Amino acid sequence: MKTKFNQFLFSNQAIYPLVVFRILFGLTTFISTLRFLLLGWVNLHFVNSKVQFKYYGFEWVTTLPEPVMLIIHIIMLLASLGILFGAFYRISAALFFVCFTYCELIDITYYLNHYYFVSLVAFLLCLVPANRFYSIDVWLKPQLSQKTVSAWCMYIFKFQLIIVYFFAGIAKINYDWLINALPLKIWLPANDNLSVIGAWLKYDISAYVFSWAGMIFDISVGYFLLNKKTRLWAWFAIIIFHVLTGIMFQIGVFPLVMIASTIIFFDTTTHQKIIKILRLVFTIKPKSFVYSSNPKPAFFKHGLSTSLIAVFIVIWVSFQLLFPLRFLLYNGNMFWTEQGYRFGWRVMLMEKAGTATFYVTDSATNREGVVDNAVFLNPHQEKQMAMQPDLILQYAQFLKKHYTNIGFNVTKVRAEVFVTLNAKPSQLLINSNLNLLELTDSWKNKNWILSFEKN
Amino acid sequence: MLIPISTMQKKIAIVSFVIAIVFSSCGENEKKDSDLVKFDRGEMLLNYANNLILPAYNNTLENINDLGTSITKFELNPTEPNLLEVQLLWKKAILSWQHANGFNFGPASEQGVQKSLQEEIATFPVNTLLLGNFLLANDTSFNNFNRDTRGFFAIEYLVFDSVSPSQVVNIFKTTPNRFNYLKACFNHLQKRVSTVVNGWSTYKESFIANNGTDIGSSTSYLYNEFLKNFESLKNYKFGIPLGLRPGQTATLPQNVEAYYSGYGTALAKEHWISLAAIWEGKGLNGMDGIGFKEYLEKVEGGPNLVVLTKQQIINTETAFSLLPNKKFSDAITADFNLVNNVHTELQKTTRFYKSDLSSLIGIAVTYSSGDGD
Repeated sequence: MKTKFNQFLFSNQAIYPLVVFRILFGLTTFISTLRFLLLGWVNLHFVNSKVQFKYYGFEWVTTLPEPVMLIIHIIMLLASLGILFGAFYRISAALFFVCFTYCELIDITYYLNHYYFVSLVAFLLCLVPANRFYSIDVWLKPQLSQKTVSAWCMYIFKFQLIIVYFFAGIAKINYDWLINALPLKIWLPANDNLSVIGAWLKYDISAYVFSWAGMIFDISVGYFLLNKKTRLWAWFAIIIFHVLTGIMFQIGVFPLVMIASTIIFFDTTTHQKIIKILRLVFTIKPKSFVYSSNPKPAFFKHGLSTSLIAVFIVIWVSFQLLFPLRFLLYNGNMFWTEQGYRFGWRVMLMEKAGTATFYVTDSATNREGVVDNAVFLNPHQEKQMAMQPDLILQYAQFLKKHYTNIGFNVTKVRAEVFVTLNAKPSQLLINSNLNLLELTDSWKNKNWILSFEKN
Repeated sequence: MLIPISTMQKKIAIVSFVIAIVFSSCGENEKKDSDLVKFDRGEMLLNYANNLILPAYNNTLENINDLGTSITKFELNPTEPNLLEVQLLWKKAILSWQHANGFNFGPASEQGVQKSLQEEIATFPVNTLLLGNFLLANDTSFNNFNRDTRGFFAIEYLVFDSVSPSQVVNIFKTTPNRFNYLKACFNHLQKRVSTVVNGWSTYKESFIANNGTDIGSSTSYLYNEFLKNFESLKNYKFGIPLGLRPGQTATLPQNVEAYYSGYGTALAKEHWISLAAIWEGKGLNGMDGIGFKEYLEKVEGGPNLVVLTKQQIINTETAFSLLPNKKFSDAITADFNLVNNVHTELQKTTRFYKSDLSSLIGIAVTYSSGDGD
């Protein structure tokens, strides 16, 4: 059993898929970081905001002054190139992982599943020797070159990709998505001005077709990618699916990330061909091209024992399988309470929006003031905060701190929060008289969230 | 759609397609959904442009021009009747502006150092101290960012000044600089508004053509500015003067809109009427065209929201109708509860105009990326 498992993880396989994956990932993150800089989002997300909403357990992560934030993004650009060209690879991958994850941890209102995915992949890239072929590192040190690598180095990325699609698909198996075709019934007609497909999007039937096709696609695409016969078709379906959603929805670089990453599923010969084509554009020829005569698996060279790697993989896989399912431990409708919602590959799954009005009581005068959120939050932050219970608590704490700092004795912060979910009439998310200062966020059930009434 | 290849995949695709058709036809039978989604945003934008936006701006500009004529007349002949005419025409102009101030985008949006039209010409309260300094120095250059020393309300301060008309006439007669400053304010106001009116003659076409719902589309501009405009009525015309912000310990009657003329109540009412008209798509001439209301009638969950919103509009109108017929600053002190009731009703309106409306129609409110699929 153990030997079989070891064989599965540690058998030697050609390094090409990992090399292509490295190149495409570096290219995607380079484009993504450049886009972020050009859109002026460094300022919008990290410099101009007066409040940052924190991740539970990462409250200590704060934003740094504008020049530092810019430098961090420039480091990310360089690190992306480092990954792409396999130059100072480990340091590049580690730098990218640290900088990117740091930026993501600054403000949870910008949380996106694909940012989480990029963080995970960047972390995994730190562990694998993706620079051992067709790279600057090999050009500098030809003895590093190797043509094979342990199988787990590729499997772990394939696993991660399948997890993304599969959980996204499972999440779509719910009443609103399948039976009411919601939220697509809202989102598709909003795109009826698109050329060619636009005219079709007005019809309810389109929402049903997209809902069901999307669910089936997400659940099955992993299987079809693994299967050699169906692989190419599955990848074409991925292109169509992501390009279509990319046109219709404001989802940034996500389509690009997924289309590029899933290429790893193709076989060795395909990747060899890709590298051959790349060589036409960009040749790296070591002065003395020597492959190490007896290519040892990478982990030996790095002093990592096979059992340590095996343990790591078991932990990683278990976490990825179980963590998205933690919502099962919570009460209530997950879409409504959002308990266990994040880090679960629940993407474009619901149309939700809220209006949250906060009231602050000063004990000196016993006056209750109503807060103008626009004074403290940008529209994006307000939109996210107004429907997520843990962020509502954070904002209440911020208000307390803010008004205490300017000399008031804040004894109570309460909020009237009306939320609409999938076009249902808006209803109260929490009791409007609740003193939010008496509550603290935790992993425990948030019993103070009102239950969701259908109609 | 999937591209079916293997038989198994084909089967799955066919089965899902059949199921989808079955379910969607069920839906149609129940709610006549087939009628629900046919909405032409282009037609809606055309209605907004032709029947609301352009008439409102043109009307404002015409009234501003009339105000200019009366100011010239008053300068030539500074008498009480001529001042009263200036005051009357100022009121007419600022009332018509209430119907245009919701369209603070496109040609009216911020450009370089120039702020949006709303900020450039309708900032209040007036900084009378600073204005007094400029006046004393006969500085009419406006080479500064003190938007609270010009625009509609600087003119109001100059021609009303909280004193009797005969006193105002006397002040003008004894301080000739005041005429200079008044004319400068008028010229600035007239120039800003006519620039926007001219801008619309070319912008109109792209406004109607840009008929998506993403950020940067006309519908999203229209909606987001509508919402901002509603918030500014609630927060700046009621919330702050009423002393409702956390940290405020008393009312701030001198912070009301149009403090010197005392027309705050009339302006707020007109502003509210204009906001309701934008929601309904009702033109300046009273004709009800295609607007957000009609859009909602065609989308999932929309008809229900229309009913709720209409009821809330009626409730708010009732609260407005109970406002006492006196200076707004006096009403805030003497009839706090009546004014506060309007704020409460506006507060209740917020979710109908804000998250409920944008969520159902699917309008983008931020530039940031959403979660991809």
